[in-house]
Amino acid sequence: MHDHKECKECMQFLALLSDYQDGELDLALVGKFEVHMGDCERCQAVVKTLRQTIVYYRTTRCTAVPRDVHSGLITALRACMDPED
Amino acid sequence: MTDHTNPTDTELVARARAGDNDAFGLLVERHEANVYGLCIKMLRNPEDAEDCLQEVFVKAYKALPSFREEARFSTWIYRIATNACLMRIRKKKLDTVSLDQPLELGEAEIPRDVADWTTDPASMVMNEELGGVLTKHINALPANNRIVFVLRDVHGLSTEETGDILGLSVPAVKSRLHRARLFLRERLAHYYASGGAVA
Repeated sequence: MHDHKECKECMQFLALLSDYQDGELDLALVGKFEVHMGDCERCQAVVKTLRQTIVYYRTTRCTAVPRDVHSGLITALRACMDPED
Repeated sequence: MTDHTNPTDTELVARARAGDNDAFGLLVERHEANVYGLCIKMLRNPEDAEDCLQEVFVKAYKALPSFREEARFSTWIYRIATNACLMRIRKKKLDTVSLDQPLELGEAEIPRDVADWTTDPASMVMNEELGGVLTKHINALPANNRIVFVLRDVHGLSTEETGDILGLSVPAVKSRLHRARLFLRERLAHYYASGGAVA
């Protein structure tokens, strides 16, 4: 296994990791990096763990507001809509 | 054809602007979880997030007359929420790091922990402990990187939408997102390398 920290290709790849992850990398570069990854288990691991990190955080997205928080919001809005009430 | 059982945001905004408060109520129901979720991640505590949620929708209600009809309501409400959160952070000095200071990645700049923990059976389960670790790590990001990460990767907005909301260029969004991702990946790698106990 080559030295990941000293490898120019690894460094070049890691700088463009987000673009690769988002599918926004030039196709020629994608091909180049996928060839590189075929030989570099460390870059493969970085790609996989980055992807999983994003997946984890996506699951933390709030999908519902607690009932008391919603009630407080409605009260605040009613006061704003009908200030004389 | 207009679907009266499921009006679009644009239709609801038009009705709300014409004085239909119930229509505004439907907009609130649709978007409150996104706004509250953003506020929780940015402000780090439920009380501040609740106050900010109210501030955002009251502001939006009052600003409805100035809403540009060609804009998307979701983008507009995210923009109001983002500004409200960042203002509170500035006022309360919730961040020890300046909002404009670039994230110092340190060791995360060059990934050091490169073990593939995705094959670890423990990593397959999203439990309370891991949830707490994720929160702790995202809270460690400076606000200017955290907001980009939350909009792009947690809420799934596009790079362009995120830039539009934050008033940033696409390259600036990408740069902040990249740094935030590397930082969080590295922190999580340490967590798994240390046996998943303390990170």
